[in-house]
Amino acid sequence: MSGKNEGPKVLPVAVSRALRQAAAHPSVRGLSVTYQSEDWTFAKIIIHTELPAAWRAAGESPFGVQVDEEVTIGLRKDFPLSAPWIVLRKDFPRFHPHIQPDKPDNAVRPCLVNGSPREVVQGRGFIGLVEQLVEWLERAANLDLNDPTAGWEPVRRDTIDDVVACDADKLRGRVTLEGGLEYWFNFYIYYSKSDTYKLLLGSDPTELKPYTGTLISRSDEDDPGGTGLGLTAWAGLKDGEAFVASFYLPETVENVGELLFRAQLYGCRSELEIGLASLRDTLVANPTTFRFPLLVMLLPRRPYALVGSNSNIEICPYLIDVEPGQNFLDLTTPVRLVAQRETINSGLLRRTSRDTANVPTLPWTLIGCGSVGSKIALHAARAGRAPSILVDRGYLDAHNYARHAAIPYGAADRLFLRAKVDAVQEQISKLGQSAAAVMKDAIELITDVAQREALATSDTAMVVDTTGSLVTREALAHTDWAGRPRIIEACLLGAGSLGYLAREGKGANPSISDLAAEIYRRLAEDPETAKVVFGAEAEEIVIGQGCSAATFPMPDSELSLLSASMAQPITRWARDGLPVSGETRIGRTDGNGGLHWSVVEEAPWIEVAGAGSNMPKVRIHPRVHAAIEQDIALYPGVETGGVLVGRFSQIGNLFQIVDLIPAPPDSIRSAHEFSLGTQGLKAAAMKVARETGGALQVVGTWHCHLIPSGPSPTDAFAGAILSIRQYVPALLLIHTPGGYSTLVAEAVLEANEVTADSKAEEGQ
Amino acid sequence: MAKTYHFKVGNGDMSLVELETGRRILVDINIRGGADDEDDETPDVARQLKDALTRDDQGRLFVDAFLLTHPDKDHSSGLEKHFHLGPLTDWKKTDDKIVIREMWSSPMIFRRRSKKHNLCDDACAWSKEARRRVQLFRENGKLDNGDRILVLGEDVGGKTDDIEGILIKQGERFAAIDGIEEEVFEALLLAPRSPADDEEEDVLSKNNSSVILQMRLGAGGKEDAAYYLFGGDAEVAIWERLWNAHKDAPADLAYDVLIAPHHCSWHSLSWDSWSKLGEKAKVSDDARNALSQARAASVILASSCPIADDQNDPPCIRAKREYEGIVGEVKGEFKCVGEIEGDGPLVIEIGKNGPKLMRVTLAATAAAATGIGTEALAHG
Repeated sequence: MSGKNEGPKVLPVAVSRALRQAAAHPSVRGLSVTYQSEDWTFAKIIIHTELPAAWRAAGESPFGVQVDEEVTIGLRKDFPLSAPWIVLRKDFPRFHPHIQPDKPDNAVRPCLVNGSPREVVQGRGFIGLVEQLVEWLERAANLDLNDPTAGWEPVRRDTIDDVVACDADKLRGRVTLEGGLEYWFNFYIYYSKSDTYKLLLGSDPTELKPYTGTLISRSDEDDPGGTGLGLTAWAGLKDGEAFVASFYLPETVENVGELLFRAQLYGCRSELEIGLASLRDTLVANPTTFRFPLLVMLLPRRPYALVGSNSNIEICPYLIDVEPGQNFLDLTTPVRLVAQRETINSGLLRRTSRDTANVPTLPWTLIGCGSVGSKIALHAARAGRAPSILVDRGYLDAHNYARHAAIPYGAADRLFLRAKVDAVQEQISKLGQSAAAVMKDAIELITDVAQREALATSDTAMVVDTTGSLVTREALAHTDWAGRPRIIEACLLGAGSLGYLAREGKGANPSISDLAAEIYRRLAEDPETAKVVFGAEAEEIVIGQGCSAATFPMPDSELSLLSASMAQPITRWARDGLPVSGETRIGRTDGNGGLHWSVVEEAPWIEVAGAGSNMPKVRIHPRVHAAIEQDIALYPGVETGGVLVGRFSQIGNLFQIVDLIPAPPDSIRSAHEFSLGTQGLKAAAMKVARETGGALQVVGTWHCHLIPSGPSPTDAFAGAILSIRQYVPALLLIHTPGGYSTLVAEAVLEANEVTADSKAEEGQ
Repeated sequence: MAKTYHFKVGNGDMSLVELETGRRILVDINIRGGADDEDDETPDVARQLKDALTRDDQGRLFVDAFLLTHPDKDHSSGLEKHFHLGPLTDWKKTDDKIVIREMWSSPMIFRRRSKKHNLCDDACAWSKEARRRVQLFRENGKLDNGDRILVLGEDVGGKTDDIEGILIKQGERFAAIDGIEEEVFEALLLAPRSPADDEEEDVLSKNNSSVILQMRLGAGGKEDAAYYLFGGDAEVAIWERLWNAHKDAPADLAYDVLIAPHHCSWHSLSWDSWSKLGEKAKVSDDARNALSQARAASVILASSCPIADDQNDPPCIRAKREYEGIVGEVKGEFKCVGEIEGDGPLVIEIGKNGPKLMRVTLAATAAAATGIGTEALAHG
C-alpha cells in the first residue's frame, strides 16, 4: 500500500490489540504499521516458514514460498466486526490451490479458512487467524495445500463468466475406465446486460442424430433462453492404468486451441476432438440462424477424492458461444469459463448430511403422511434417502398445517383440501427425488392381494407405518402375505409426550404386533409413564372426529423433536438395510426441550400353533418362556403353573404373552395335577388391567405336564370355567418336556342367551 | 520421514532419534525431579518421551537403543525411575518402565568409583546394568533380547579385549541396532579413544570421556538425508584432537544438526575462561574447525537453559555467537532448546530434502492461554 499516512496516529484499540497478538505468534519475525488513515490500518508482517535444509539454503521452497514471507494485513476501523484483509506479495506463485479468484495483476489473497475469517477472529482471536496463515504458507511451501485428508481442491478460476447447474454425482458416475464422450442438451438463459449464461444440464445424455441440430433453440426475449448442446469427455487407460491428472494447474484456457491442450493434459484430447467434430458436422447439416451455448465439460481423474466429495472426478466446464455458421473448431475461437453448481439432488443432500456411503437408497414405503409421517419423510428426503412410495388416504385440513411438514403455498391450498400424499410427494420432488403417491386406504392395500403392488414391490426393504392406527398395525402384522417386507412402526404415545419406534425382527419375529404388546408391559412398569400413556386423557376418543388416529394438541417443535429422532435410524436403514434383530425405542420429552431415548433389542418370540386351523395361536415372549422354565425347575417332580398376562389380537386371532402372575400361595402342586389357587389373584389381575388401561389382561393360565402330553379332561374343565369369566377366548398353555400345547376355550353366546344369570356369573 | 526430538531439560541432554523404519535411539536423559511433579512447571519430559514411544507385543514401552554419552547427572537423571534395569523377565506391568533393548555405553562402566570418578545414583545404576549385560556376554558369548549392549570405545589395559563381539572401536562404523542392520542408519564412533596409559586414564575427566558419534540418517529414499553430531560434554582438548585426526577427512565431522557440546559451553571451543577473560578469551582454531563442518543450512542446537548475555558458562553467550557464526556461513540456524516456546520438545523432521525444524504451533504456546481464549464455533 503506497501513500502517506493520514488521520489519527493512535490506532483503534481493537486494531492495536490484533497487531500485538500477531506479533506474539512464534512464527512472526517482524511487524510494522505501513499505512494509517481514518478508515484503514495496514501493516506488514514477516512470517517465518520452516523449510528443510536443502530449500533453506536456497532461501525458498521450490514452490515459491520464501523462508521469510512478507504479508500485508489491512484492518478497517470497525474491526473485528469487519473481516481483515490479508494479501501476499503480487509475485507470489498463483499456481497454488486455495487462493481467492482475482485478476492476475492484483495481489494474491490466500483462502485461509473454510468459512468466514471474521468468525475465526471472534472464535480464536486474531492470533488464531495468523496461525491459519502460517499453516497455509507452510503447506504452500510443500505444494501441500491439496490435502488428501481434506480432499483435492478443484482448479482455481480467477474469472468466471457463466454458471451451469448439474447433478455432479450423476455426471461422475458416467465416467468409465475406457475413456469416452457423451452429448447432452442444456437449457439456458442468456443475460444480455451482464453477458452471462446460466445453464441447466439435461438429466440424461442424448445420442447425436442427424436432426439433433434442429432441436437447438433460442427465444426472442431481451434475455433469451432456449436449448443448447453439451459435451462431456474423459480419459481412459494409460499403460494399463487409469489416466490420472495428478498435477494442479490454474485455469488459463481462453480459446479452443488451449482447451484442446488442456484436454490433452487431462488425457481426453482425442475424445474431445471427436466430439467437437461430430457436433460441427451436425450443425453443418442443420445450420442455426442464432447464437447458442455449446457447453464442454472435461472430467479429469484426480489422485484422490475432491474436497467435500467421495469422487476423484473433477468437473471442468467451458462454454463456446457459437455464432451462426461459425467453425468453432478454429483454434482461436474464444472459450468462456463456466462455474459448476450443484442441482438439488440426492447425492448432494447425502454428502451435506454426512452420509458418505456411496450406496443407493433402498426402496421403502411410508404409510401415513400426517405430521409424524411427513416429518420423517422430509428428514429422510433432506438426507437424500426419501421413501419411494407414499400411502395416505387423507386430506390436509387447516389445523394440519400446525405440524405438517408441508406449507400451503397458494390460495388454492388454503381454500381447498389437498391430499396429504400429494403435499409430501411435491416436497420430495423439490428435493430432487421421486416418490409414488398412493391415495388409498392402507388396510385395503394390505388385505387385497391385487392392490398390494401399490404398497410394496418385491424389492421394498421396509414399510414404515406412521398412521398410529391400531388396525393398520394389526393388519400389517397378521395378514397372510408371502414375502412381506419388514414393518417399522413410528408414532407418538401419551398425547404426544412419548415417541415409539419399533422394528420387526427378521421373518417378522418379533412382529410389529408382538412389539406393541411388549412395549405396553414396559411402559406400565413406570407409574408416571403409564398414567400418561394409558390415562384418561390419552385414551379419550373425541366423538365425531372420525379419523383413525386421535389428534392431540401439541406444539410442532415438540412433535419435530420426536419425529426427527425417529427419522435418524429410519434414514440409516434406508441406506444399510435392516439389522437382523427386532428393536424398540421409546423417546421421552421433558417438556423443556430435553429428550431421552431408551433402545432395547428384541429377541425372537416362541410361537405355538393353534390346536386346530381356526384355533388361536400363541406367541410367547422369550422372557416369559424363560420364567416358565425357571418355575418348573424350582418344583421338580410336580406339576406347577401360573397365570398368563398378555393380549388377544382379534385380527391376528392369536394370544401374545408378555408376562406372568405367579401362582397364588394356595395353589396345589402334585405329580398328577396343578391346582391354581385364588388367593390375591383377582387383585393381581385387576392391577394389570388398571396399570395398562386394559391394553394387557390376564388371558389364561399355564401349567406343566411332566411327560409330553396334551390337555387332560381336568384341563378342559378348567378352561371352560375360565372362558365364561372373560369376553375373549381363554387360554390354557401347557408346558411339557416336548414343548408347548394349548387349549383354548371361548364362551360364545347367542344373543338370546345373554341373561341376568350369566352377567352375574361374570361379575363375580 | 525420520524425526528427532530434543527435549527441554535445561542444562542437560535428552534427544530421541526416530528412524524412518520406526526404530528409536535415545541419546541421554535428564528427567529432573520437577519434571515428574505435576505441580512443578518443569516440562514433563518423561510423559513426552513415553508419548513418542510405542509398546511391544507384551505391552512394554521400549527404545531400540539408549546411548549414554557419559555418566553425568545431567545426562542420566531419571534412569532408575523410568527405565527397566535387570533381566526382561523382571519387568512389571504396574511399574510400566521403558525397556532398553540395547545399551550403548562408554567403557567408563569398567572404572571403579573413586574420588576422581564419583557417580550419581542413576549413573551407578547404568554401570551396574551395563556390567550385568557384559558379564552375560562373557559367560555365553551372545546376548538375548533385553540384554544387548554395545561398548563404544576400548578401555585401558586390555579390559575390553575379551568382548570384541560387543565392542565398537574408535574410528569404526556400525549400522546394527539391537542386532539388526539398518539401511537408513550408520554411526561413526569418533570418541572416546582408548587412553594410552593409566596416567592418561586418570587425567581424562568424565566429560572428556564422552562418546562422540556422527549419525547418518536416511529418509525419503536419500541415504544421507541428514548427519547428526552428538558430542556429550567433550571439551576443547578432545575437539582439537579430533580435528587433528580427521582434518584430512573432514566429512567424518560433518553435520546437518549439531548438538552443541556441553550445553553450549565455551570450554568446548577454548582453553580460556569466559568468566575471567570475557571477550579476551580466545577460540581454539582446531576445536572450532572440528565443530564447524556444517553442511548447507545446518542447525546447531544448544540443549540448555535460555542463553543470556552474562558471565554464565554453560550456556555461554560467547559460544552461541561462535556457533551463530558457523551456521551463518551456510545459511543455517542456531537454536536454543530452552528458548523454544511451550513445554514440548523441539522436533526436527527429516525428509529427502534434509532436516526441517517443526514450527511451534500456536496451541503449544503461552499465547494460546493468556486471555485470548477461544469460543466454540457454532453452526446455524
